[in-house]
Amino acid sequence: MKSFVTLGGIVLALVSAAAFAQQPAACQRVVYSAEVLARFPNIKAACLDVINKDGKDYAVVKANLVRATSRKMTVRVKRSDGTLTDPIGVNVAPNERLNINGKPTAIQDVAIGQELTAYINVTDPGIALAQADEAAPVEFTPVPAAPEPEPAAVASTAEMPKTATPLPLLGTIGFVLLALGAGFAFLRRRSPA
Amino acid sequence: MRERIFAALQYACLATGALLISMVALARLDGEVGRQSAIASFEATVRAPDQSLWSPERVKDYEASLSIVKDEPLAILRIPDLGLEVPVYATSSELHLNRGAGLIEGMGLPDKGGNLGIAGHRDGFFRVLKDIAPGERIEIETKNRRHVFRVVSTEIVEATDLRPLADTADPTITLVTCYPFYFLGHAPQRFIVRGTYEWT
Repeated sequence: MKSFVTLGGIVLALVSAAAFAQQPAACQRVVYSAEVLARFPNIKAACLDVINKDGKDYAVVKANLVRATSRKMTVRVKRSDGTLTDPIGVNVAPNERLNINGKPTAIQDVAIGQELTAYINVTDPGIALAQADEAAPVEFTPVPAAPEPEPAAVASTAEMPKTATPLPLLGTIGFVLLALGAGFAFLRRRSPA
Repeated sequence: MRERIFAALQYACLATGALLISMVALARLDGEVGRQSAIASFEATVRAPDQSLWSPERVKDYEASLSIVKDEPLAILRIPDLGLEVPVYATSSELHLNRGAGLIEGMGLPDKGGNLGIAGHRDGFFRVLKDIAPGERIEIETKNRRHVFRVVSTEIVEATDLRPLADTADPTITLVTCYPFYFLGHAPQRFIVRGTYEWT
């Protein structure tokens, strides 16, 4: 049993080392601030590339879209082991076009489940989504220390939908009336003329 | 005299009974025709036909025709294990529920996350939900994407209990229909199916 655990540990270490070795060199060289590491403890493993814009370095990561409105996207950043971080809100402009799998996509056309490319500032904890226009200025949304608050467990709708029709009742009455009609016909035939 | 009364009652009962049954049959037929035509219309917009041999004018007319389609469904709901395939309309009004399923006002929207609430008639398209089981697949196809949810639970709640309709952080789906499934008049309870999003 112990040897299995040891063997498993060695395999896991080798796989992790191999995954880390496959990362672009830029991801291994970049230095993250303590604040960024506190917000994204797994950022080193999640990093796919590092880009430089206006003299600042940004780690490139992949994220799953979990909620979309015209002004805010909520994403979960993918870790190297396939798990996802807590939800992170990212502000967007309604006329923005995001780069989704190389396709320019308007904000109103994005859909949950899509994989987005996100940039994480390596010095200040901030996140932005990759836009279709690479030359467009990147507006970062600060990432708070606490995760996004869970929605309140209160329905925003006032009542349950009405999902019953009078059709079964009408059908039943219809059959009862047909049976009664047949009954009257039977009585008429039996009664003497 | 008695013979006349019996004759009048006989014809009145037969005529009214036949009328009521015809109304029910027509409503069912209208629902089924509406369901099929809405799915065909939705699929035509999602999967554009091969236009490689079309003239430019014909392509233009085709695209113009798509923009004037009124009240088309926002999505198609499928539960393959139950053989259910219905269009999902923007509201859960009586008209929409007669022709498919409808979004519950104030809840999440397809593609946009949160708690996606969909209602359907328990004596119509959603009657098959009586046989649903945890682990079964629920698909929502929109014009942008096909989403897959897995059933995690079913429950029966009072009609005044709104907890199943509350928002959620991660994408979920909540199907709502009246309960008991076989009940004459307004059913006092609701049957709730909850599914979680399957990330691909």
